[in-house]
Amino acid sequence: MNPTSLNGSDNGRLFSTHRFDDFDVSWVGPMPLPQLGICFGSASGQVMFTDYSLNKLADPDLVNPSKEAINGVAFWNGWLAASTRADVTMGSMQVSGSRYNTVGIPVGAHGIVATPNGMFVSPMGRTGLMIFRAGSAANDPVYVLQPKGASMYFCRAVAQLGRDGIDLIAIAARKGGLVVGETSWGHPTYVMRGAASTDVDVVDICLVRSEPSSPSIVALAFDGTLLLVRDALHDPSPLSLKFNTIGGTPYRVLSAGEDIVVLTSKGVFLLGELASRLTGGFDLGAFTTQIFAISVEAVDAAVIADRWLLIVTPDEVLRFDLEAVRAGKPTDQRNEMPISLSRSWTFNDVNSTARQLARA
Amino acid sequence: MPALSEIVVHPQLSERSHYRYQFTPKHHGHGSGYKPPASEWIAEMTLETEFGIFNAADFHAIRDDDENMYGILRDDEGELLMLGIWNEQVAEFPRTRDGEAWHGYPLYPLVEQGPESRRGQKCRPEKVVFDRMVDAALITPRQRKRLLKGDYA
Repeated sequence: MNPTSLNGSDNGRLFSTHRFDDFDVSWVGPMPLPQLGICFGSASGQVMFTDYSLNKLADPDLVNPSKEAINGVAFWNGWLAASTRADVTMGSMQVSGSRYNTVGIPVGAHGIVATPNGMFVSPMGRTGLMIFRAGSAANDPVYVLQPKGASMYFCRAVAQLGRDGIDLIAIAARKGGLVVGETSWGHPTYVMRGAASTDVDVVDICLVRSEPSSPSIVALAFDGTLLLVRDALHDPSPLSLKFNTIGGTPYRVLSAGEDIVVLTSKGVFLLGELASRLTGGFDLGAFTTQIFAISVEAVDAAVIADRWLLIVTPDEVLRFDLEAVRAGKPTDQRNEMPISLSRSWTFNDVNSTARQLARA
Repeated sequence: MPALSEIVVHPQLSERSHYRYQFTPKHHGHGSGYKPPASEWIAEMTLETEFGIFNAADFHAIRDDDENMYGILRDDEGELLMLGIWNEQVAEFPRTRDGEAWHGYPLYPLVEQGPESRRGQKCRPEKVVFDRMVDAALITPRQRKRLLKGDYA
């Protein structure tokens, strides 16, 4: 089955297209402050904020002096951090003047996220995981957690509140599998738990809305399978599901309320109620899943406020109203029973030593 | 291609510039012997295919400002294939001195701190390299933008 084309279908009522003058969008994500909205990163190191209707709230700001394409922006309590393939920076959103780039780290990363307790976390491939504190000064330490293990390649990280108020971080580690751990600032070593399978190359990961004591995770493998973990702290064994509708090179997996969104080189696939079935404890392999597939040249995507699906294409941004998609029951929605794949997983401690990053 | 124990020179010259090309053990099965480990072509990559990537890079003049060349490999549907054991999709062919044989290795996208500080190299192609790949129809605008971000395409 091929995804539905946007052209000529009746799906036009479900989305709108947007272009910004002199701002070539490379990344999109939610903006929590100073008001709820959307943050866009550009292909030349700038960020720009809009409301949910994509009206500009201010002119773009250069945040990464490398002027490389933004691949991640994160916020914590008035601080903004942004990453590119060449550098990571942090600055205040509240100070006027040269507010950004208070801290500049000339090391590339695959993205950046903020933890609930105020750490910025960046996956740095083979180098490990960069962590630094929101609000730290230029000379304050930046640490790298380097896992002891040859096959780890940290490509994506997500964070939420863990047990006892500390941070929970989950990482897609390519052939190193899934890595999950509860962490806090200031330890010389960190122990996380890893789950790997010889056949699985994990390229993206998302946290599904769930309790801190039993975090649910959905990850995406390069072969297009979804890896679902109901309780990553107590039963990290993933269920591997293959949907034949999902084709192309897998790029992203996103949580959208009760649904899961998969982005590939062929388009975007909305998997209805898969997230709620995961957290609800249903037998996932025994359900048919409604899939809304859209053919689009997608570069990146984000889900904003569980309602808006923003898709970055080579020259514009599409904004889908997920409520309208759910309510409208598009005619080209398909039902599919996924194939449950049997895989052998190994579980081990991922010991990481924190070393201070040399920034020279 | 199994690991090489010695340098192998390809019998043909590149089509456009008539460059010689050689395959080095360092990037064919022996990268782990270096600190930090050197990038390696995947075992499934034949020497002929590797030369083809180099030849296409030369043919389309996919060069940066320092005259290093860059190449990719596509499947029948235009998807970029993995070239290296660390999932790299872009290979670099560093400029050589006149008359010397070229060589290459999978380079990008790969984020790591070590080689940059060690060799003073950026380990990432300049933006203009991806623009030239699009102009030569080697990659799509979508793939260009993914690669510019440091993501695989």
